[in-house]
Amino acid sequence: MKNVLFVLSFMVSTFSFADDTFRVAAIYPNHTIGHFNCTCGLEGACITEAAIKRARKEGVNISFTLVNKDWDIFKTVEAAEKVVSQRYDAAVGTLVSSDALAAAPILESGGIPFIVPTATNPDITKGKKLVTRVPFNDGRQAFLLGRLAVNELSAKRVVIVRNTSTKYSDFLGTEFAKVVRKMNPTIEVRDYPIVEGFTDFKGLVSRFLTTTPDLIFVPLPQSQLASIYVELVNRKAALTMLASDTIEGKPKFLEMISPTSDLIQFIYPKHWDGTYSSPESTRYLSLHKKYCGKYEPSMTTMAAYDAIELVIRALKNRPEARGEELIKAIHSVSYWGMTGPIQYGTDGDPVKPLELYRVKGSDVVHWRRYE
Amino acid sequence: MSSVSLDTLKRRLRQTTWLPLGIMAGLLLGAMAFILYQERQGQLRNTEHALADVVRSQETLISQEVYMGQDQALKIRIDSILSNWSQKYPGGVACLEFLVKPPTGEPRLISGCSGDTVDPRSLKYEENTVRAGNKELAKIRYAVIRPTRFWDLFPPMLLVVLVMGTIAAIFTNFLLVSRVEVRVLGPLLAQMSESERNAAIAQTAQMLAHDIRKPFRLDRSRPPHFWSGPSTEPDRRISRIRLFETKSIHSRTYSLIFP
Repeated sequence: MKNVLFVLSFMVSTFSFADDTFRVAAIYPNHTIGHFNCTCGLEGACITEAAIKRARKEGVNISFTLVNKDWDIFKTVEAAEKVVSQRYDAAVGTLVSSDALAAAPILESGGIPFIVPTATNPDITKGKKLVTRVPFNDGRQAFLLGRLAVNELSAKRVVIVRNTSTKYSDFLGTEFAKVVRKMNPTIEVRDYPIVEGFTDFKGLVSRFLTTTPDLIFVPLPQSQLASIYVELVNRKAALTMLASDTIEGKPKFLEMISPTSDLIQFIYPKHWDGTYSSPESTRYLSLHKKYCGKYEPSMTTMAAYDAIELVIRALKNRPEARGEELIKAIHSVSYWGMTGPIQYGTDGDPVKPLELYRVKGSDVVHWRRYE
Repeated sequence: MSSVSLDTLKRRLRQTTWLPLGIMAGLLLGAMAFILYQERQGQLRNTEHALADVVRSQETLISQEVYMGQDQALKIRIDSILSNWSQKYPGGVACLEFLVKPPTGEPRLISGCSGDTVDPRSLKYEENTVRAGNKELAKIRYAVIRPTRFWDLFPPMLLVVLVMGTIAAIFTNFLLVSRVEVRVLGPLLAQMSESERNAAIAQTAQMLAHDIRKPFRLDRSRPPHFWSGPSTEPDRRISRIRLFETKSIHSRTYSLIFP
């Protein structure tokens, strides 16, 4: 009889624990197989888990589960469906807009709050009550980069190379063109759409250089940026190459090019200024050092940390918040994160500046904050 | 039987030797065209497989673009695939169709052809289904056509060979007929002429002999008392007539022998 009572009390306590615990699903890959020279989101998963461990120590009833999203959007879809079927209380993660765009509608319709650390496409959060994000959105990024091109860089002939296979690049390129044309209709804007897997960069660069552009806008992944940059260097082109927030840290390809061309002014924005000026820095650094020392602190670790920290802070304020209430609680949190102060605008996305970086020689320097 | 001249014989010989030569050349040309046609059909199948391989290698990217509703990317991809294909396999026309069925939104058709010389609706398409899990995202349809032109079955090189072969055939035929003329027909005809002449001489000699013999037969048929001198008037008249005939035969025979 004693044993039966013990088992029953154990089960009751277990169920009550399970009911109260806020279960977070971290949608990140769990391996780097097939990828070279890339931590590929493992650092995001690591810092998320670390922040949850610390929160538990601080008394927050929260748990962490890594749900592998692997490397294509269909695996992300599977991961999102798994999160819905297993009724997690919130999901954080995904790295790029395509992943987040695939997961967001599934999680939204499944009633799971979803906090996106780095993806910027407006459609991820547009019209959704349960999806929010840490970075600025691409509407803002396109506006600020367009304004930079027109007002600060005085562009007269602009070439846009956009990857139509991804909504991220497609939207940014199209929106950037609209902004530039609206700000100065005399600027000549030419559009060069490509697709994922495109390889004829030699031909592409030859074609657009005939229009003698003074600025090219290239919202592309690093591999494609590298191909274009190399072709421009080979042709001794003198222009400004303006990229978007696809570059993590220093562009890897610069290490392979020697010497880099001083004729090309290469500028790109990031979500993080590379410094530890946030009031949260001490807490972050101690956590990073303790749990994730094998990874370099990066834009991804900062954004992933901010994403889970927003959830934890919202829960600290309102432990019972679930679903839409959690998102509201997140939006009401006053938080100066590692990627800067996070204040949500009327469109539901954070209003944040661009941290602009510039290639100087074979090095990269923080140029300026642009907002 | 009418007489046959050497020229007629040569002409007929030429005509009869041309017929098998022409039949052989026609058969060879037909066989060559058939082989080339078969080879082209094989090539067509290979190019179709090549297009299918390219499409298959891009299936993951295509499915992601379909899923994300990136229609422009799909159109660019189709154009890019077809452009590369055309450069690799000139002369043919390939058509690609993506019947897109995105998770949200209406199904739509995105298509393209590497040339505008064919009606895409008239082609026979191969079909491939793109799935994500158990969801059908798109149907990819592709077709390759390569219209068979005259030059495909009879390439210029074959025609050059044909012309050279014809020239060689004419030459060898001429040579053959000339040799047949010199070595066979000439002697044969000469032999035939001599036989005819001998026959004519024999006939003439026969006639001559007959004519020569005729008066003597008349003489032999006269009554025995004739040689004792003409006794009666009728006998004398007969003698005069026979004498006249004998003279006449003599003059005809002389003219035959010494014309």
